[in-house]
Amino acid sequence: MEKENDILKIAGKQNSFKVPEGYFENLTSTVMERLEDPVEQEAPVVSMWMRIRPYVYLAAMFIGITCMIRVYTGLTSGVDKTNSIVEQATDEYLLSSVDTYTLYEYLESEESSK
Amino acid sequence: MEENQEKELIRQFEDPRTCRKAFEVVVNSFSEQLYWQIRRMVLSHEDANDLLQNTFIKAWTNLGSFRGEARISTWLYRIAVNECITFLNKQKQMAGITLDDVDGSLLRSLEAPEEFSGDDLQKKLQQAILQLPDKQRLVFNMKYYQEMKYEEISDVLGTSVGALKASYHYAVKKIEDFFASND
Repeated sequence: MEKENDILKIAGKQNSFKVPEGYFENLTSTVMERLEDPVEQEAPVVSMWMRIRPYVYLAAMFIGITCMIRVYTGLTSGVDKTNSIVEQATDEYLLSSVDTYTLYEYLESEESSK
Repeated sequence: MEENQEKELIRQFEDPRTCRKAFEVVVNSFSEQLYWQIRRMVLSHEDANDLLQNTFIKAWTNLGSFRGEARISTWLYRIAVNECITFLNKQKQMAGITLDDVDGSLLRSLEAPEEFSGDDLQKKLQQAILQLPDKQRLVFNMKYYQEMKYEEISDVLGTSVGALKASYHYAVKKIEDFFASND
């Protein structure tokens, strides 16, 4: 590259920065001295509660959902039961309010219409 | 570092009995080139030394999460670059509070005889490089001084090869302009 050559002509790539004497000779040992040994690092203590906590939460969630389903289905079946009682009561009331003659007449007219 | 040697080192990283020795080989192999990359960004030896140590400490701490998806050198360069950018951003934030000039404080390193031995031309080149934006400066240093391939720089910085070529081209142009305007 022509421009790079221009810079090379002007100043070159020489390194003019200075380092203290023996710096690179001791660098590796200086760095290594600052590193902690991972084997000596203690593993973090995990308590029994911490270990079983997710399972407890999961179980509690299932129990909660089961209870909610039971309460809901219980309420729904209760409504159905109430409805059937009301229907039965209504039928009984209507039958009691109609006399035998009217009923006979109605059945006969139904038969003749067929 | 050869591919087979790298694979062997990665295997040794996984064993607590051998990981320290393997990491020592890595420190020995890459510390000098990483130091120069950092030094050219922060200019002062003291800061470069601190950032280099932090780079290796972070690499060591995260050794368990390194699975060899990238080359060891790429992984270390990424950490070093992040350390440099974080450091320079902090300096800029501090300068905002203290109304100090960051480039000026970096340039003072070039004036100290224990830090820099170059002549006026060398000093001028460093001043020209310093006026580049941080990322462009990284690209220029990696390509010009470290002589890294664009593909390697792309792996480190996560930027496309095309964008890197453009960035380097602009950097060279700005440096030339700096020289032209300061003749």
